[in-house]
Amino acid sequence: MKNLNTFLLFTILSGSLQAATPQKLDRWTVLMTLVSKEMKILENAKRKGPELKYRMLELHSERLKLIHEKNNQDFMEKSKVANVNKNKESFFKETREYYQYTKEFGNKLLKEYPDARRRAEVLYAMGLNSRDYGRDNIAEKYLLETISLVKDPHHSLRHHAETALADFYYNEKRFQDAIGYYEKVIKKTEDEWLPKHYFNLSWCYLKVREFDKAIKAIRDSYTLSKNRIYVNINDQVLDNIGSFYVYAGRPSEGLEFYLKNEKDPIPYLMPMAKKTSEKGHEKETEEILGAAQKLVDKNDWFHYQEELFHSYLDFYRHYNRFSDHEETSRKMVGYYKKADTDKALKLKTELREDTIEKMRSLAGFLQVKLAKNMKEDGGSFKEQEMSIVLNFFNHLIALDPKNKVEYLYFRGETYYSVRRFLDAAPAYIDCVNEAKLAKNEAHARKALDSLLALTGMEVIEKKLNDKYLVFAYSEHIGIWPRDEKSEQIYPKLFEIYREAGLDEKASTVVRSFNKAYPEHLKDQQTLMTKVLDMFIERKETKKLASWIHEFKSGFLSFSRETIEKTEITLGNMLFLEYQGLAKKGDKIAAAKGFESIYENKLYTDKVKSQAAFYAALTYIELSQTENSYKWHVLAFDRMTPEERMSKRDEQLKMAERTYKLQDFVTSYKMSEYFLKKYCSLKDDIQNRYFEVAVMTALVEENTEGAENIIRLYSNCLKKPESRENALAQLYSFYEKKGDFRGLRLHVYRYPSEEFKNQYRFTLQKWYWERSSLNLKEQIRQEFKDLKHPEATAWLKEMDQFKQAEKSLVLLKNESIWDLPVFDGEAYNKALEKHLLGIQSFKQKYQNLTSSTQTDLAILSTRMFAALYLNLGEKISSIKPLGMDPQTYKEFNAAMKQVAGQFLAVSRQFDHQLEKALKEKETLAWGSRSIASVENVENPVFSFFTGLTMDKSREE
Amino acid sequence: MKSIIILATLLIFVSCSSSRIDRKIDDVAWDSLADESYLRWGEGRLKKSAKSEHKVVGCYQGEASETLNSYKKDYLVKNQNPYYWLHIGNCYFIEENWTKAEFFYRMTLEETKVKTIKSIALNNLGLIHFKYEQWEKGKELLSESMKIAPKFKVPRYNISQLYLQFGLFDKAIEMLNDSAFKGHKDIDVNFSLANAHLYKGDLKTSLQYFNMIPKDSFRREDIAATYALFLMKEGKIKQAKSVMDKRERSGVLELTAISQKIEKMIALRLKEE
Repeated sequence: MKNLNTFLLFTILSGSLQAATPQKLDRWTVLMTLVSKEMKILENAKRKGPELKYRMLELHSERLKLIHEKNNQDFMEKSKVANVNKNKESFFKETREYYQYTKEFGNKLLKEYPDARRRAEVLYAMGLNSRDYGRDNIAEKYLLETISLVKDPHHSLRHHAETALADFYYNEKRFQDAIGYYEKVIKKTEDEWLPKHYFNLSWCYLKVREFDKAIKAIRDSYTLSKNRIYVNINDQVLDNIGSFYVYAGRPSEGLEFYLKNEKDPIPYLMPMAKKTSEKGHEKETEEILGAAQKLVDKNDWFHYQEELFHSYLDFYRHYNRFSDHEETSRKMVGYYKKADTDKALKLKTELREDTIEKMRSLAGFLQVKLAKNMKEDGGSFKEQEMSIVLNFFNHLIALDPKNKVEYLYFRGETYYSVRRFLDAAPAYIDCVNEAKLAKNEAHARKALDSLLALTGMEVIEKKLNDKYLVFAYSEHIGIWPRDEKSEQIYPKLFEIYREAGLDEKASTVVRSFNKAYPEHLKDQQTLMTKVLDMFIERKETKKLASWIHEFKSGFLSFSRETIEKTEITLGNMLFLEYQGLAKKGDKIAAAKGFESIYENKLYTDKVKSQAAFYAALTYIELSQTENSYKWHVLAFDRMTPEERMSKRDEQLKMAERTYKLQDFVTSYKMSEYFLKKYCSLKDDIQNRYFEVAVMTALVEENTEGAENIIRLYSNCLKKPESRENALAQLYSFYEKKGDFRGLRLHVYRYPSEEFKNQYRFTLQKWYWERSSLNLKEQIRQEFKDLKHPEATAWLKEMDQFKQAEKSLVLLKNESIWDLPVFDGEAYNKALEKHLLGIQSFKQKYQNLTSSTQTDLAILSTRMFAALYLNLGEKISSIKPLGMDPQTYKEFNAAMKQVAGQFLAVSRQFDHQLEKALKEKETLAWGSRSIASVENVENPVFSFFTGLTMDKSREE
Repeated sequence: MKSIIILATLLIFVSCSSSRIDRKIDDVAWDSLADESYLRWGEGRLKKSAKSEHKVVGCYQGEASETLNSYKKDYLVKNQNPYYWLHIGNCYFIEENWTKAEFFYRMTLEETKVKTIKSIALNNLGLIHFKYEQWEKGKELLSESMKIAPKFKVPRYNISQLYLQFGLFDKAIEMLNDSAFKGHKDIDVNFSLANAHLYKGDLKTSLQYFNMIPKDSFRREDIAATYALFLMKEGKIKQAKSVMDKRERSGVLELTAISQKIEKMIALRLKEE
């Protein structure tokens, strides 16, 4: 039957394979196709007898097997991705349905042919189908019927049916029933599966606790497997035989079996050790593991070492031998390290994760135990236990660095649990630091929370506690700047820093607080104010200055008033030192100090302007007026409009003091500078600057400077009188200096009536006083140009005087009588003519003696005196040629009488002039010119001979 | 080259010319105004006084610049001292910086309430106005100076010089005969009286005063010129020439002109003889 089937299948397979070529079909499809094709052939048969139908049952069974195979495959695949156990049956729906179909086909066959030759075979097939694919529990029934139908105990069908039934009972855990059939089955020694039947039988004995029989059966299976006529199942035997010895309570024998029978028993020793351990044979387990380790060491079977270590771990864990466990763990750390560093050794590391997990598990367990013991034992613990736990975490750190942060945290927790707070805190810190590196916020938070809790207990010495608290706070706000807890931390951390005087750190906290919580601005301002107070108290000006810059750029949105107050405070602090130096007399050092503040980039404009201002003040006290001015300007440039206004009085005083210190040039510059800067104010101070500028310019004889001030800044004045005064000063200056050109220009530029009137008189005075002919001519021309009636009249008089002087010379030189022969009548005529000439002169020029030009009046009066003196002297001294002495005597007497009259007139002129000059104390140039000896003016000049005074006798 | 020559000429001219006559008197006995003015103090007297009396002495010793600087340094301490501004003015006066001298004299008037100091400032200011040829204004200031401190001799002396300058000899004599000068002997007072009487025509009295002047002082150009005129009036032309020859040239332009005029006259007269 089987051969037929095989043939048929082979035939169909060959045909179908040829037909299917070139397509390559999978095994399942090929078989299903073959089954289907044969089934089709059989179904198409016109006459279907029991043989053919039995064949069809076989084909149905074959197809059922394939369907089940497919269903099972689907199930397995699905179960890989999801838990489908609950719906498992749905995967096998087709199997069940086809089983039912096959079963009905078989039953129909049995019914149609109750006496058929193949009935036992049909039942056997249906029994196997039921066992393998059905849920109807009829396998046992069919198999028993098969056995009963096959009477021959050596018939192969009967042997197959008994084997199937034995397997069925074995699977159904009906070990005693199974033993009965297996014991029959093993008698058929030609069955190639005999070792398997022994093996199954050994299991049945084991299950019914007949250990000796079980060990014997399995050892028989082992022996038979070595025989080539049987299927070798020694792998299965070796896998299990150790357990058999263990169950039998004879693990040492098992060890001996392996060592004796197997060259490399290690794969079996390790499971056996496990089993031995589980069964409570601690000593034997240790022996087994020791034997395995010996073999590994002896044969360099390093590929077993990892697994063997695990066996040890499990063993030690099972017997709570924690110290040994830790020792092995330490060895494993070394092993893995070696594996990582020396790749050539090809050490296995597949179980690394398992190793880690085992260590983790035990470390966790021990940690909890430690804490529990600590509680139960009233605060005491065994140092060694803690060491083991800590060592585990160290090993784990080495083995599992990616979770280092976790182990560091556990280390902290371990210390904490045994109240070793001094060790716990650094451990938490290590954890936080590692968490930051690993970006593991969860552990960072856990460690920081633990550290905060620890510091909150205040169980550590305060200084150290503060250190840890600061760490915790700093890290917390560093990692979670905006966080419920951080929100509370900022002010606390700030206070710690502040109390410790750590201003920079305190201010950094404020900055961070502000960045994270801008809505708490007011609180931050309060905190920052405390920092500033700290700076002020400690006189840390540079820091204060630096912060003012920050505030000015908007940090913490401090009000302008607050910033200004701070700046003023800073200024006061900065200046105090140098003001002190100045007070002590070291003003140069003080000035340099103020300069250094100004030059320091750190300080604000306000401070710089104050510094420059103080430098200016100091320099003026040193009488260094130019330097003072320079610093004034620098100060001014950096002042706010308000500050400038507030300094005006002081600035003016400085300008005044500068000229009092004899520096008119700088005072002028300073006055002009501020005059220009404050022009629009038009107030009293501006007027004063104007006055100072003009005055200082004139002292320096800088008329151009004075003119500029008047021209450019008259519009900056409150009172126009200042301008008028300045112009009057300028006029007076030109006049004093005798500067005709300057004076003329001034009068033309500022043609006021007052100036014009004064100008005429000044020119008139100069005309008579000055000897320069050029100047005299210029003045004459100016009088012409002025076209003023008075000037015109004066000019006319000047011309008259010139003519008079010429006429006087002629008259004085004119001889009355110079003829060789005296003729009385002719003489009288000549005298008359001369006198008429003088009379004419008098008539022509007498008006000059009453001129409003004092000098002219004096000079012309003196001219008349001289004329009459000359006339008198001339008449009295005439001695006509050819006149006899007697006549001359009479003549001379008569002439002297006449001359006397003229001399008297001359004296009268002199007398009147002298009287007038004395009475009026006239200090006109004309009077000087007439006061002479031998026509020589007096060498006494009041200016040259005058004396200045220096002191008083009364001192 | 031309400009260099002009410049050199100017320099020579400047170095030779002066605005004022050097009238140092070494013997204090001939300086009746010594307690009011350092101007005529000779080197010896100035040295002796050192600067114990007043710092301004330095300016009379040719250290005007240094002295002015020291005044700057003293500002804070001494600016309330009544003499502070006055002496700065005097230093500038010595330096012939008239505008600055005037400024500080006016400062003195503004700052001080001490009458004598005001009087001194007015006197000095009067001289400045003489420099400006503002005779009336100068006279007013001197009159005011005398009015405020009638016992001062220098303002009287100064105003006498103005009278002399403008031919008001009687006024000058009157001023110099004031009781303030009684019992003192003073070269300039005696010279001024000799001058006044000479110009007034009273040679006899003039001679009396000339005789009251120490012989050494006749080398002073103003005195020499005046005395030469006196001698010419007396007909002592040769003596007049001798006096003029021995004179020390002042460098004051106006005075030099007068001296030259006298010398010409002497030469003419000698020729006539």
